[in-house]
Amino acid sequence: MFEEYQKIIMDWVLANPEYSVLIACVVAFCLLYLLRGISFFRFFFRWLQRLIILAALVALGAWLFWIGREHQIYLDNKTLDDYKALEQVNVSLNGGEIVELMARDRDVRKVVGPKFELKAEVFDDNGEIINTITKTIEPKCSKDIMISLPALAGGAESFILPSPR
Amino acid sequence: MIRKLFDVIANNAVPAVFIIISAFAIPLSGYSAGYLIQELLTRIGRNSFLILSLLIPIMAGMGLNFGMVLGAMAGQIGLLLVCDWGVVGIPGMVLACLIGTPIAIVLGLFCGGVLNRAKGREMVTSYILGFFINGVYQLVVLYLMGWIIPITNPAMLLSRGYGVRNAVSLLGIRGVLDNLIPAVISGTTATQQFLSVNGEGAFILCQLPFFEGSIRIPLATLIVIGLFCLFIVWFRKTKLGQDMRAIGQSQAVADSAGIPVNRTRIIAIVISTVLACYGQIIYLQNMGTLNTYNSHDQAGMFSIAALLIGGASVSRASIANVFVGVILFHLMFIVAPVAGKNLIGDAQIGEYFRVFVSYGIIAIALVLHAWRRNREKEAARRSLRGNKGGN
Repeated sequence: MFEEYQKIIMDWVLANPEYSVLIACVVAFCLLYLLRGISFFRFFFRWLQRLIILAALVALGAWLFWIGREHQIYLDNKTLDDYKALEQVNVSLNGGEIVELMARDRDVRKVVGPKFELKAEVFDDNGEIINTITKTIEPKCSKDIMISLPALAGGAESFILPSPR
Repeated sequence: MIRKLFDVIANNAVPAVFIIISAFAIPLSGYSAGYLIQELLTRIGRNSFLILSLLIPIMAGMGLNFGMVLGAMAGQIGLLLVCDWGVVGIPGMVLACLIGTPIAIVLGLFCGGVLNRAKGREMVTSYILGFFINGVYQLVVLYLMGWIIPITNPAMLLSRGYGVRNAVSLLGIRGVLDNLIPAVISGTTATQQFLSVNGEGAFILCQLPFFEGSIRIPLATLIVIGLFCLFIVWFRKTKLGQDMRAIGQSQAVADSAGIPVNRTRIIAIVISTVLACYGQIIYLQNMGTLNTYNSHDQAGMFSIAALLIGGASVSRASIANVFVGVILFHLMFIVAPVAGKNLIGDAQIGEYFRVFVSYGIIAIALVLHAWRRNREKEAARRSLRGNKGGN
């Protein structure tokens, strides 16, 4: 009999995890209230204050993670499908140091923050600039990304590739 | 008169010994004033916050909080996680503080609870508690990190796939607080190439005529330390601060006055542990390398030694003691090896001498404190007995 009830409850919990968490929180809250033996409103507002502070701290932590995360950006100048490797391309991230990449070169740079500006100057065989691309890229939560410069110069939408590591 | 002079000497014996030793060692070392000031400023910025975290438990009559290593461990766990997530700069440092805070609070509550069960023997209890929690810390860092707690950075993990390496580079947050406001004090002959911090231009606080080159000032760190000092001054005037001082003077009287002694003592330890956590993060951002299994041990011993050298005792410590202690203790660190080398021809002798004197001084300070307390007790007993020659 007991095992039957237990099975029904477990099935329900597994089927409705979000409601289960909510019910567990309400039960824990009621137990704490009964144990403390103070007026309900005082108890409620005290916990509300604590929860607001906790939520604010968690939000602050998430924001710090978002703005302070360092990303490794692999700059790849190799042929990708129909996009042939560029003869020479100079790339700078956030207006920083210029990285010179010849055909089939790959280099890595680090940037901090949720987005960065990439400026690429594509050169022809004579060393003349034939195309300048400026693009704002958002690596979001991924730690490392690889940018295919031929695909970027060719106007492909999916120029961000998974990290080679 | 002689007794008063004797009291003054007895009260300041430890700093006086260090001042005399430094007075001999500085000329022997041959270091320039500019170099010594630069080193001392760096070390004041690095260590003062940790030492200041010891003041509140002393105020509450709990002696020197050897349990501050618990807070240091909490700070290190925060730094390890931040380092793995790749969060750098000031956000990384603040995030490490944010992660370390709840761990430090839990450890502080535990430590406070244990110390309440060992009243009168707080120092030795907190010292042993540090060893116990060090075991738990090693379990977490050596076995659980990379196995249960996800660590994705292979540079941090041991080759077996779990457990953190002995040395972790904190390149992402190295010097971020120290160099947040790049400032220098320069000599009048300094050229612009000297006046840069990490390749960026620094503003000149003032120009002094008596030395060449420039001295970098960790201005942001010093501002944070200054704010902490103001917090301590303010805290002493609050109801909680007054309660702590009352408990520090007499627990029985404070209890009779309705002050919740045990709760207040726990709060003192929690505050100290949390502040030690922040202090350790500031210390490690200056160092730039985390010695995973040893950094916290050194933090506790060095901070307590510095505070005692500054003239503090087990029952009395002030902000001035902290700064005097940092200056004298670290002056010995800087000059002793070179002074020893110049005097005897072997730097190791100077270093042995420094270690011997520095840690011997802890023993002397504790013995002096016990002797003074016994003398005060005897004086109080004599005054209760009254004048023998009277009626």
